Amino acid sequence: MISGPPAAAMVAGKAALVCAGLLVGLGARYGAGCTNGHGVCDLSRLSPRSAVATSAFILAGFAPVFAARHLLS
Amino acid sequence: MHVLTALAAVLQFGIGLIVSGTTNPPKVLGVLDLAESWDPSLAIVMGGAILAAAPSFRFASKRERSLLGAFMRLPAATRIESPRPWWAASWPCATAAGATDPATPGRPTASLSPCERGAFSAGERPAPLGTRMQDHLGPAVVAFVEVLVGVGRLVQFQFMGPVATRWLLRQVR
Repeated sequence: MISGPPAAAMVAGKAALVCAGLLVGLGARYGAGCTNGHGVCDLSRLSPRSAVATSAFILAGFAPVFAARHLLS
Repeated sequence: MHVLTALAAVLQFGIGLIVSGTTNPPKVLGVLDLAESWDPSLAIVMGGAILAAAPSFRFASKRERSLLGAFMRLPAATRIESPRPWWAASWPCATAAGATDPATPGRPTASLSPCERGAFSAGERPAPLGTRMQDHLGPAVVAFVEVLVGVGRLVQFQFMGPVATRWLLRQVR
C-alpha cells in the first residue's frame, strides 16, 4: 500500500530555516500553543480561545505566502 | 508499560505526519497559497485528526489520570487575550520561510499544554548530487525529533512526578 516515505522537498536555505525555527518557537510560546495544539487538540476540546488562535495563524499564513510567491519572486 | 504506550503513541503520530504529507513544506505551502493551485488536502487531514481526537478528549476531560494511571492535566485557560493571535500568526510566517509544522505528540494522556516544543524539520535546498537522500532527510529528522520529544515527555511525566513537572512549568513561564 505504501511504497516508501513521501518525498519532502526543502524550499529554504540553512539561515532561513534557523530563522524560521526561532519564529516557530516564539509563535508557539506566545500563542500559547502550536498548530497541533490549538488546531487539533484544543479544537477537539471545543475551545473558543484556540479557534481564535487557529483562525489567526491560518489567515495570517496566506499573506506571507502570497507575498513570497507572487509579489517577490 | 507507560514507556511502551507513549512510544507507540509518538510513533503513530510521527508516521501520521509523514504519511499525510504534513512534513512536506511544499504541501503545507499549498494550503496557504490561495492564488495558485490551492491544495486544501491538509485541511482534511486536520479535520480527520479532530474527528479522531474529539471523543478521546471528551473522555479524558472527566479524568485526572489516564487509564494507565499517568498524571494528566488539560489546559484550563479560556480567556482570549488580544495580542495572542498575533503571536500565533508567527507560525505561518516561519512556514513560508521554509520550516514545517511544529509538531509534538498530541495524545490525550499527556496534555500539560499541548505542543509547546517546536520540532521542525531541517534541510537544505536539494543539491543536484544527493538529491534523493535530501528528499528523505526532512521526514527522517521529524520522526527522530518526535521520538526524542516523546522520550522527553515520558521522563517528565513518569519519573519526575507531578510536583517536579509543576515546578518546571513555573520556571518556563
